[in-house]
Amino acid sequence: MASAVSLCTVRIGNQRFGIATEDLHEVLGSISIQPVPLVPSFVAGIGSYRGEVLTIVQIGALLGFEACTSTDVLVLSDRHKELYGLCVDSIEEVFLVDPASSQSPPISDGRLANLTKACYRDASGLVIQLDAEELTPSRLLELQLRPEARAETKEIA
Amino acid sequence: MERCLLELEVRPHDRDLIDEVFRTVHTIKGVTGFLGFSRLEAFAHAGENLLCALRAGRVEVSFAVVTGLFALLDELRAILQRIASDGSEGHCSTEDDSHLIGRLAALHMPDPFAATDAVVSYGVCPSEERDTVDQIKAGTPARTLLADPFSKRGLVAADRAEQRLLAQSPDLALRVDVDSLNRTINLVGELVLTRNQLLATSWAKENPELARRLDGITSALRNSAMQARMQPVAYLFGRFPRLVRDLAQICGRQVRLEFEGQASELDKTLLEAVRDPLTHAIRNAIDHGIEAPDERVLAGKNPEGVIRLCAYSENGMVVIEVRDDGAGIHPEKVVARAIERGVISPERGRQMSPPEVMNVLFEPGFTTAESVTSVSGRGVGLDVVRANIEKVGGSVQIESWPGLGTALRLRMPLTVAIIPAVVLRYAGHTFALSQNRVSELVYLSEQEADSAIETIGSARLLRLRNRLLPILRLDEILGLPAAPSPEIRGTYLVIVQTAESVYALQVEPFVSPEEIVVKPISPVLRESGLFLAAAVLASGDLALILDVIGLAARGGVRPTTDATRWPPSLSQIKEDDRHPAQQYLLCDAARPLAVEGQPSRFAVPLCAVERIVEIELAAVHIVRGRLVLQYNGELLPIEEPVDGVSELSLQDLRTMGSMALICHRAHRFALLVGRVLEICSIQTPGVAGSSTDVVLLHDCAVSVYTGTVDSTDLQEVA
Repeated sequence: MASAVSLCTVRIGNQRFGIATEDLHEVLGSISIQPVPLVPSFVAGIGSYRGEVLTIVQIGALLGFEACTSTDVLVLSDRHKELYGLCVDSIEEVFLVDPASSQSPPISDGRLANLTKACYRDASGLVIQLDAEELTPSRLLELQLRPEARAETKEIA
Repeated sequence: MERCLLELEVRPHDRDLIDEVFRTVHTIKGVTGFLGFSRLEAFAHAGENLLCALRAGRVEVSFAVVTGLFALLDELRAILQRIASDGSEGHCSTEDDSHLIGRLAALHMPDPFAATDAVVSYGVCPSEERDTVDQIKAGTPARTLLADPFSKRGLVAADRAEQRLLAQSPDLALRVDVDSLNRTINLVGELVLTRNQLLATSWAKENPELARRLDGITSALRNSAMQARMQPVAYLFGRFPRLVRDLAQICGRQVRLEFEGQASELDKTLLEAVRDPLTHAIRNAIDHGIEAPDERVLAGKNPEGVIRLCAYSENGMVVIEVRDDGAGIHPEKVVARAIERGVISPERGRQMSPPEVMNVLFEPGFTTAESVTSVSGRGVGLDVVRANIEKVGGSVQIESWPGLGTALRLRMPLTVAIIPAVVLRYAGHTFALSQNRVSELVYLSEQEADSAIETIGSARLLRLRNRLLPILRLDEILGLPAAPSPEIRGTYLVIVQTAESVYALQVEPFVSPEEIVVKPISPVLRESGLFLAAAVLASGDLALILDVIGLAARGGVRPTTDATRWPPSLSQIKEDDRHPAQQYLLCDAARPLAVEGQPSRFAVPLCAVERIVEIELAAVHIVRGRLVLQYNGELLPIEEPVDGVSELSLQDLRTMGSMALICHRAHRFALLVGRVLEICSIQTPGVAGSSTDVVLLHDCAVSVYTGTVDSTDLQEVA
């Protein structure tokens, strides 16, 4: 595995997700998340990180999962080094995968398909690698507003 | 080079200046020749020839020569920018190039006719210059005439000492990446928070000496990190001499620019934010303010107008003032124009007082200029200036004396990073409002609320000093669940003032003033239009900064044109209240009294209160057994508002976590308070008793604080 990708696996709802460690800035553990009124449901709130205000997103609401109960937060960065937080239920482990072993994601949900970068299988099951570019607050807002995402889901279902 | 050229105009015989300009141009020529930029080289060569002639004394420095050199400078700069952006020097028709080169060449011809012709053909010079040319052609000695216009027009006097200071500073300064500086400031912020948490632990009590030192060092570190972002306003003012020179030339005015207080410092971001508004103000001053030279002579003034750029600090704000000695603004003209343009109704126009009239100038689309010129008069003006300044938490004010001049004052906070704010806590949420937007806090007891709050349909209105203000409920606007808290008695209202409206925001009683560090938030959070930014509070909590204009829009508050009449002027208050009443700030005492049954609520004359501050323990010192507060480089004695309490100790302060009013009577002192309730009017207490009088207010006995500090004590402390 010359160009192995290292993935940090997390659990959101009942689903295992993976985040490439190169997108991962820091794992914060439990921090206090302050709710913000009148924002889209995917915004869990704001948190303070190194003196900056971090927007923390939760993808559960977008995908129809229950809202996160834990306040474990991963700090991610997009390609512009813009930081944001991702709220997850639990953090599991870091393992190496071969990008060549990626399977085409068998995902019917239009929204989830949009957030997915690749899909891997390990001993304990399927891991969906999330695309850090697509998880930024502004991209999620676009995704939420996009009507075809919903239509597509219905069709396949 | 620009600075040198401007100075050269003032002191045409200064050889050093000519040499300096020459060296710069020569260097450009050398380097560009080496790198193969032929256009640049051609220009630099032409400039060098002219400067050579100047050095040799073959040509005298004149207005035309300096204008030519400026044109060269602009062209060089434009090419350099193009090179910086795409690596090529760009292609311009050789005709244009040779035009400028030819003009520069003509300027160093010993023949004055050729020189002036070149200037005229270039087309930038004002009509008077043409007259000069005609006179020259008519046989008048050329040299004196050429020297004449430049000695009078567009002259710029720069403050020499400060200029020299600026010129030297690069040697003592280090260029630091703004990002890395901001990162440092953020880390210092983290350190401050960690310090606060540490001081609250038992470790701090066991090691008071170490804790104090950590406390002090951290505060000092934060101050010096903040200081690093500050720049003297001279950096900003430096660009204006050229602007004034060019504008004066276009408008046919004679203008001298003067500076004062160039060493005042302002946050870098703020300096950038005031640049455009200030340019605008100067433009207005030259085009609308300063009259044409002949008009000025008729009015008995010096034909040369003066614009003063002044920077000074006042009440923790930096004030930048643009003052001209021009025609001033005639209130009648403004009113007439405003009615004509439909900005105000004729009835209102008759009632307005002069300060109100000045506020009309800030209405969008308003201009008094008779005609639209290239410089100004399009009506895109002061409203934009005001909007830009308010965006960074400042305010704008115009004062004018008809016939004598106008002053435009931009009042800015010292830094954008830290602003004084009112922090509201509401059912687990924390919000902040900029203190500049809050005109007062009002507390109504249950009985008072019945009479002061009126209901029209579903709207609730507050009657305050004969005015009806709409009441907005924060929980309703933000869609928060209403938190019924039976222990809260009465109604707490924050009177919010925006440029367009005044309204009362009903809040929970957990209101405290705090200096907050402003942080940007992601656009997704700004989408609702209610939040501008967030702030990290001293406790480490985050607070969302409310957008008062967004709140008004969502709450359905319609803009009122008379918003600017709030707070009511002094004369209005006097009319309203026949009886002499004074404004007081109603507060709760910080500590319960030793003697039971004494009033713990007290009122301080508002005029004596400068500011409400949170006391930082690090800033409290003990001098001869008395507590003093270090505030803005001063030592202020800490006073308590009521008699009959035990001597205040540092331990008391620590447990109380206190707030103080900075008061000014005979001397300044810090008055310890528990919390600030509202501003109220009290009929002047008739009986002069001890240091306090007692009145009945909100069904509660309130002692009126009139005491002052014993001045002998103060001197000892000092």
